[in-house]
Amino acid sequence: MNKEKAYSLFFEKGLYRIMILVVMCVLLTCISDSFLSLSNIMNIFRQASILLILAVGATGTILAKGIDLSLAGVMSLSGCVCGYVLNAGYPVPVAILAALSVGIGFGFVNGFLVGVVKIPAFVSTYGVKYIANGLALMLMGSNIFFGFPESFLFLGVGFLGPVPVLVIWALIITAIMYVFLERSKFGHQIYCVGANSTAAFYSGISTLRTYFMVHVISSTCAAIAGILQASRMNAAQAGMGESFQMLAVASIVIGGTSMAGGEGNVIGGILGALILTLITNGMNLLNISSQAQPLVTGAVIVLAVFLDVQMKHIEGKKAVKAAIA
Amino acid sequence: MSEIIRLEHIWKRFTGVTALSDVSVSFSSGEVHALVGENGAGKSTLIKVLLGAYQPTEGRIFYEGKETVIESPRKGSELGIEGVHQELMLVPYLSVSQNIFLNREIRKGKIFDVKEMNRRSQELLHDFSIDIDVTKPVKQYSASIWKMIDIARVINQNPKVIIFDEPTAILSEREVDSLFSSIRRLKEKGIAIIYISHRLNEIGEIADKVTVLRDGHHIGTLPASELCNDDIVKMMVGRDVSQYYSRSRVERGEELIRLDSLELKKGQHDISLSVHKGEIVGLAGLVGAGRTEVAEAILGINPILKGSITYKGKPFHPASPSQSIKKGIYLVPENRKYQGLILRFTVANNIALSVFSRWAKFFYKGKKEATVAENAIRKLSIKTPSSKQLVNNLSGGNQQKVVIAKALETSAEFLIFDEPSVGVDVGAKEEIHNHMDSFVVAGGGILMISSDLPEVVGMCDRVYVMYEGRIVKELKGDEVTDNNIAEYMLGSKVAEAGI
Repeated sequence: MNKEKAYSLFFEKGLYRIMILVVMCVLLTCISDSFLSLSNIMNIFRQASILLILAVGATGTILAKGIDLSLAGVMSLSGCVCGYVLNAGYPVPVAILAALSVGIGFGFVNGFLVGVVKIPAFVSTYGVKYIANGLALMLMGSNIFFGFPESFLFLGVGFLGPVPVLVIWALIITAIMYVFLERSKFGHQIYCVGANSTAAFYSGISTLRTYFMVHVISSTCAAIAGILQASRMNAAQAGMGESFQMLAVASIVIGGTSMAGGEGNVIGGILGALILTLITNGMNLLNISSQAQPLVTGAVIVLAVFLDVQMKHIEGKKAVKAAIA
Repeated sequence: MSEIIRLEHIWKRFTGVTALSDVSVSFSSGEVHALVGENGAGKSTLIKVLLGAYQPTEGRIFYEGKETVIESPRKGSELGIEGVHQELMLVPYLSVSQNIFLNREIRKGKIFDVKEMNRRSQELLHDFSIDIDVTKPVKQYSASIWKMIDIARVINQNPKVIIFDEPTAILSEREVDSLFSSIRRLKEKGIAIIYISHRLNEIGEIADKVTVLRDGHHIGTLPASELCNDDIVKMMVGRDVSQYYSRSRVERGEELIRLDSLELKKGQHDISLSVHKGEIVGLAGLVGAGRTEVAEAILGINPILKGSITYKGKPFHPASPSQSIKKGIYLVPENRKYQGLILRFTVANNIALSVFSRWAKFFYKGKKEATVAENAIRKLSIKTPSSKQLVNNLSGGNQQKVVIAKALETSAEFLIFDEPSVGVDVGAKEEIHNHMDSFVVAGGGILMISSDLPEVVGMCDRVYVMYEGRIVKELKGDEVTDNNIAEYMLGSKVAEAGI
């Protein structure tokens, strides 16, 4: 591999994030004996799985210069609908289909608000989040539904050999999203719309379809996350997705996907989600009190984005040098 | 006239590119010194060296006789070197006078003397015969007024050297006149003026001296009085541009598209025109006459309220650009940086922008994109180090060629060009015209919107003239002259004929 290619891989593709991850692992191994145990590693992957599904699902919305702030709401509502239908005695596939339709439906609502009504995604999806949360509250009140059938619990807590089923779901969805966003023409259209929607529109790319596409994908992934969370916890209640909202957005941004649109990748989002999960895991291993944990998480997010800006700066300087004046 | 700034053997190298090679030139107080050259000839680099934005790789700069290092734009400003940039550099939400006095506010004690700043701003703008409310935010005013405000801002800093980078690109004729009279006034005050423009006629009118750059080399500096436009063009492109506009003889083919009394929005109606295969049809008119709206209606960007379009003999209802493009219609838009290109994507990405979705049902064909781009780069001789270069780093003419490559890739039969040669140098302009010509020779049809009358007269077989939202005249054959078009587009003939 020549120098230029290595340089491009390291900076432009953001491979230095892997190094951050490795450094964190090495540090945690030194500090804590239990870090490298198989059970802890599986635990990390299990913890990361749901965040990963949300993050790779919502990457498209940010690539298209938008955002999805409704995913926690959609996740909660889908989880609740799933639990509600199960408790009413319907079979597992019906419950899952009901939850998925909630996700797809909200995706269309978001796509409609952003693409047709042209309300900025930051505002419209934020509003939709409250609508979803409100519906979940109306459905559930303050009840917690639990005691789901074994076949449903298998989705979130089962094992295939040594591998948790939850991790398999995350891998499948991540692989699909990788192919879709980075290898398909639809993914490339999303990048184009995010980088300059006017030029994309004048060039014959349907911006409207793109907005629908990214939001339906994001909401569907949120619904899947809701179903898996309900299964993993063996419980469903209103607000169950709340804590994931900003973590999912932070994973994407830490992963180097630009809020300015048209720039970023799925791999970065995976690394972002793993970094955030490792922080939480590490703090638990180190017995850092749960009151102090948000402070550390916040500091790491700021630090990660700062690093990213610095890396881009180096890259930018190189580009300026290369540019013809 | 005394020399104020002298460049000696200036070289500027970037990785892989030499932007300036051994340029020596001097500028004098009280003189208008024009700097001409094609895009990419090194004008911008030279200016940046003068302003302190770039450091020369080799060579020396003498300022008022002393060797000087202009290490930053700030230092340049302290020395008295200021630039009026091509882009509009004002803060939209600040008032006119706040912009003019930005960072140089007049104070009465500790507080700003707003009254005095307003008065002085009014005075400065009055010199350009612009009387506007200087307390209103600048975003209310048009682009040409912005330019004048920007110029006023620079003059207000009492510089010794002013660099004008294509100041007239967006100005009307009247505004150009008042700009020129104030440049003459600045000259009398002993300020050195460096003037960059693609409009050669202006150079004859305003410049005392002309320096020509080509591919980073200093080709020559001569008194303007000894040069005619043809000489300058020859020096710029290094060859004879025998005829500015050359068209091949093409037999007019069948009708490609016909608009029948379209109504677009209030005040835009009675729009009827047709374009045949093998024809370049002009759509002339003033800015704001509704020409771009017609183009955008055909593409399906703006709605059509009434009337009908027939395309290749069948009724056509434009719904969106993607549908129109599929039918073989393509618009090369007016604003290439905003509507035509994704600036931070590569040349290859941009060339494939309108076609990559056709190549496969699902997958994105990166390799095919590269091959297609390489071919287009060769065919249109786009000057770029590689197809992976960001479009943002290309010169205006080459960016426009990328947009045209995009259009040709769609295998369109009907192209609309909206101001195809704005901000494009003479050489690239000629190439673009040649591509238009070969497109109609191959059986396509073109509708060309242009404010450049010689271009309209030189390129078009027929011309429709728009005036205040209507097509008021179709000119054919010998009727296509500068005078005829101008009279209809300005409305003088319209009133007379009672159209």
